[in-house]
Amino acid sequence: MAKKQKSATNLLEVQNAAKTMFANIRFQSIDNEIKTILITSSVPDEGKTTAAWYLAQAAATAGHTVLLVEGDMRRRSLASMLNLHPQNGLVAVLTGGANIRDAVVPTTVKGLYFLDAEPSVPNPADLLASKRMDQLNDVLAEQFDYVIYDTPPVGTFIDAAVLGRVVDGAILVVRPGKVKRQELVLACEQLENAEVNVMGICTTFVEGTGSEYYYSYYTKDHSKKKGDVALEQVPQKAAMPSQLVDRPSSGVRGVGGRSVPRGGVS
Amino acid sequence: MTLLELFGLMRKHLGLVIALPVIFALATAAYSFLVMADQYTASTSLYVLTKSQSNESITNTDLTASQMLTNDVATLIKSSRVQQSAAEAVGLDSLSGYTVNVDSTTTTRVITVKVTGTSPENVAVVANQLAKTVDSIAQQVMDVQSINVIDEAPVPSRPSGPPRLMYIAVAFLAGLFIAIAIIVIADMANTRVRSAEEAAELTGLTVIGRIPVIK
Repeated sequence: MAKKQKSATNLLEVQNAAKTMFANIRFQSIDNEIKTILITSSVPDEGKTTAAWYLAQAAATAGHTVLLVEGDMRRRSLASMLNLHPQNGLVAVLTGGANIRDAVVPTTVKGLYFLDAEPSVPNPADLLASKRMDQLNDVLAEQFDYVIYDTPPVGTFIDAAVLGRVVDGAILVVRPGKVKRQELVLACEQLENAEVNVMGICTTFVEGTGSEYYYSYYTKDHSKKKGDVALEQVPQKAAMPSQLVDRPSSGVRGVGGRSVPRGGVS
Repeated sequence: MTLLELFGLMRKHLGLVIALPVIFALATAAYSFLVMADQYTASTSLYVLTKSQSNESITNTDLTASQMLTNDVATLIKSSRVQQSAAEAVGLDSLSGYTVNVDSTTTTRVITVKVTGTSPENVAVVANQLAKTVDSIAQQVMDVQSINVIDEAPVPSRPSGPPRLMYIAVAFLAGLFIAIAIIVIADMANTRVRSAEEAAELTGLTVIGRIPVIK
């Protein structure tokens, strides 16, 4: 899942792809507003977490406040990928052990926040099916422009389908050459049975198409770094566009540093 | 599967598509040059003409009769009696190591006997002996003096075969065919989703994002 540790030399291409996906989501958002998005896949290691991270980043750099939620309580990967280890997580918020502002932490990307999940949660599916989760989702949707959940593969655990009923839309991550046709169809059926609004497919590990044009267009004034781009540098580079845009993003309610909007579940 | 998809598959497995024909061709080249012996061909021509009345010029009837006789003689050369007699005459047990080809066109009275074998001297001897033997046996069985040797078979100076280049070309094509067959069968047996388009087709969903490989 976490292929991130490798040096990213085609980072611009990946970010561009994520921006395209974000734009596509916004096109669907015209009739039914889509604020809470769930990312899942059919089988493990299809690139959910990477897709979720870049989508969240694309939304944040477009000037929105975005919360990335670790919804995969079976195998957490966002915290180590972002190198963020908050004290409190999703379960604490749900059980009332902490309020949202204590659990949500900012990332290195401006406008992008992170809510972790606790390790070894005994019954994630029940937790996600609870009324409190439903309420929490509403509260988060109020306080952030976009809430993106990274979830376990729907073909392995029911979690994504359970959470999918609550969110506005879901994205099914498909890694060609990895998932079997049968598994994909079953995963899709599972989501449909749960009446999840599946917005579409996001393919991962695609051999870049049109990247040559992108590079030749882009590298006229931006020389692509061939050397190692450490993970820590990635968000900073990504944050550049939003810093250039000197305009407060819509729907920001006192977001800055750790001062996450007030409120919480009970 | 469309032709474009096939080319796409071939490009994906370019290594196999190139390696297999090359390996086949190299193996065949090694075999044909190192193991297969050179072959030599000696050829002799016979002319069949029979006259009904001596001291007369050739009549049309003679020519027609000779033409029919030519076919008989051509068949006779291939008979085991002629071949066995010729073998014994040159001191061989049989002609099993030699390939004998007999060509006779229907409108002429010329027969070409080609003998192929591994020794240039022996093939010439065998070819000439076959011509002599068939003459004597034809006299015995048909009671006619009709066979005249036009060309004595010379000792071939250059090998006539084996056709190594053709073998290599065939092996190359066979390798190419097998490589493509492997790719196509492997693709058909592949139960995994191949592309975004296939995923969209299977699920009825649209593709809203394509995250490239992170390099």
